[in-house]
Amino acid sequence: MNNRSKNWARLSWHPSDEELLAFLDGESSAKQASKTQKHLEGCWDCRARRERTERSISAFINYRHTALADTTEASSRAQGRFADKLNRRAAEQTEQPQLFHRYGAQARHFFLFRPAVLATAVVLLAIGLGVRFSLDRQVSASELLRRAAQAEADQLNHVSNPVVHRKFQVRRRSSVTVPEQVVNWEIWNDTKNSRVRQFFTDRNQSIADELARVLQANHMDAARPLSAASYQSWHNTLQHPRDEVTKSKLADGNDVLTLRTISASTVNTGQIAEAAFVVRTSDWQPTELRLNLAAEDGNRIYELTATLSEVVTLAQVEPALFASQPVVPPSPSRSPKEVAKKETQPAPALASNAQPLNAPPVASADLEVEVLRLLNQATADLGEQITVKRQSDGLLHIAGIVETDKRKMEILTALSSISGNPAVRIELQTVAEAVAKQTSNKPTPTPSTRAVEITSNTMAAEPELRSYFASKGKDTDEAIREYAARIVRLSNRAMDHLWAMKRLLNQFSPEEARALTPEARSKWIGLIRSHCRSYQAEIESMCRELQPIFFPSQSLGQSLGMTSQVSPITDANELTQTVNQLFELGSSNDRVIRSAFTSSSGAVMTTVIKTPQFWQSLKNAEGLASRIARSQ
Amino acid sequence: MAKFWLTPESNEAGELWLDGAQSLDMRSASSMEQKTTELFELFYEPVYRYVRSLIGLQAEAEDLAQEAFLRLYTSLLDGQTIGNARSWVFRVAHNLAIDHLRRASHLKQAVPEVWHVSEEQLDAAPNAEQRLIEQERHQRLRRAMMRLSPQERYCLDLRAEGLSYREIAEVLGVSVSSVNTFLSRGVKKIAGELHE
Repeated sequence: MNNRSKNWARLSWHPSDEELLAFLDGESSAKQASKTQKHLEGCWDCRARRERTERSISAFINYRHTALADTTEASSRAQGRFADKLNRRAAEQTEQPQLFHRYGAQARHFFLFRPAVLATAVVLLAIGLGVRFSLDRQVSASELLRRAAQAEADQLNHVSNPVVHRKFQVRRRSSVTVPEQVVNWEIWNDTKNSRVRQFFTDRNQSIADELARVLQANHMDAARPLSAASYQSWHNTLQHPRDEVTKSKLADGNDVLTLRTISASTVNTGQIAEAAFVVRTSDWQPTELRLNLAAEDGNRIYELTATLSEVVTLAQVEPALFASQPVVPPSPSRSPKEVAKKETQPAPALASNAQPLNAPPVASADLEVEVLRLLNQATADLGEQITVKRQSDGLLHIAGIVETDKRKMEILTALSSISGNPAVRIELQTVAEAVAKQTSNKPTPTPSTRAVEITSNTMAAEPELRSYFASKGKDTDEAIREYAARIVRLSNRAMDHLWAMKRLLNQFSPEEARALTPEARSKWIGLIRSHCRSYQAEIESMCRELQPIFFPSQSLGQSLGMTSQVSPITDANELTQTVNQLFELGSSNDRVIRSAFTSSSGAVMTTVIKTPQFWQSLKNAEGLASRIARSQ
Repeated sequence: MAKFWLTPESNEAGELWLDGAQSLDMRSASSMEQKTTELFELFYEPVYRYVRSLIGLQAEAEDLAQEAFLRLYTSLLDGQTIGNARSWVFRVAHNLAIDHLRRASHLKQAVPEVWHVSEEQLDAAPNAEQRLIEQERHQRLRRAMMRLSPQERYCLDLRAEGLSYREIAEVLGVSVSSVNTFLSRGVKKIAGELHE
């Protein structure tokens, strides 16, 4: 049959209503779908039928939505009720053990007439259950991560100058394309000097690069992807994580525990929706990490399986391995003041002739950056009282007070990769521990009280808010309270990021910053940029909230267009200047926000919040943040 | 090991597969409780909406939809193979709703009250003429609903909740080609009312 005949044959056939609907629903076979698609291209009648069908479906769906409009509300109401019902059902099931529940009827019939059998069965069952319960003790998610982190730390402590050497097989699957892709990934991590070398099988290196980006974007550690600290760091970022620990046996006979975590809140593109962390029960070593990532083209799954895991001393490693990443000698990275102070101190009596066999450990600036990065991953650099300082003893002191034992454990877990480093001292206390220590050392001071007179309960921006919410027909008092709280919260969070940026910047003098290795410098700038992007995001959210009420004539997108034209920062001095400038501007904006949206104790009723200058000031802050975020 | 991983294949169709053949020591009550809660959060709203469209009564629909998930929990605990969790829950909910209608002798009422869309429920049209057009359209749809056979309505409702033909077939215990036929007839009846 020639082409023309084929075309006529295709047009003389018309899909039935069922075939057309199945095609529209994506339920036709590939062959049928192709046939129908080609036919529709040439047949106006069938195209009109298709349109009629689509319009009918659309009308039905709209009608159904209207008829069942109250279901979302009913659904949210049902959550609590269902949880109660499920608890009751679970309690009933527990009272009725599973074995008897499943085979209850047969068992009752069998045992009723055989008392001896019953007695023997009870004894055997008791022994069996005893054995089972002792083997299958439930392990919580936090215990699993804690023990895995401890096992890693123990491994590092047993070796001087430990270098972690790991090989992985990475598998990547996507919902849209291609078969599974595989790459072998090898990482050498000199934990003392924070140096990392990576190797890939050449063909699919892009997968490992992609995975490294995914890990970084989700607060995981790309240098130690299969570690409890890295997993914990991602876990800490989840608002409502749901954990499940299950036990299973691998093909090689090893028992493993799998911690599966689901992010219960909405997941955006690029975020991990679900992850699983697998550890061997015999030694708590992690063996596998699985990530389910929300991507633009559907879900993507990465499976990272350890094929080799060892810790060796630095001396065993071929020197050429880290040749491109030299260790920075400690002296230049110390501040000039500190060096001067050390030089003026009298030398110890035996200093000239007693050279110790092992030089005392000295923390490098690169190690300091690594610690800052780990704290950042644990979100411990936002307002928590944790300081990181290299002191005159050459050691890096990480000290601070945290709210709870759980938080302390989270931060210690995050720091587990460097906790075995002899140049590091970690002194974290909970508030309770700090208070207990203080009361045992000092007499308790008599608490003083200060009378605060509240003369007014109004906030400066209240008239504008009241008028706006009244026009929307909302319960104004409630709406005003919620709105003001939201804006102050955004401003608080923005300031947290500004403070974190400033602390990071002040962590190193310009000389110290220049002495950082390229990798450490890149990490350090990366941390500043990351806080800057977060600041920018908070300010953008704030502008979106403020604009309809206070600046209806202004456009939200103006500053973004403008800032993309500004050149990025490449110089350390310029970075310092710009961060300081942003800090000043951001602090001033924060003061305006506070004066406008918090209850005033005086009669200050004027506000600059609605002036074009304030809007410009917010936009300028956004612009500066954008520059810093693009610094190199 | 429990196959409870959202694979790309299953995710594409929105299906979640549960392998019930996991070993007994994997099935602690708490992990099954957690799985059930996860599935409840995923599927409760569409299941409730479906039951509501069948029986019309809000409180009963809530109870029946929740009962379907409680039965899922019991079945998981009993080690039953569930297969496609979504069609399983819909099937149980469907059967519960039909039993409820039989018990309450509601079957005579072919279209439950919920399908009577009141004027207040209609979108506020900007002018009287458009409001009239909208009312006319809804009356036609209401008539179309009354002309649908129960099977056609079940199929349309389940399809509206995003179930595939195969899943609908599993819920209703019919063949995939029957689902196609019921859906096609249903759409044709709606089109007939709307475009006559």
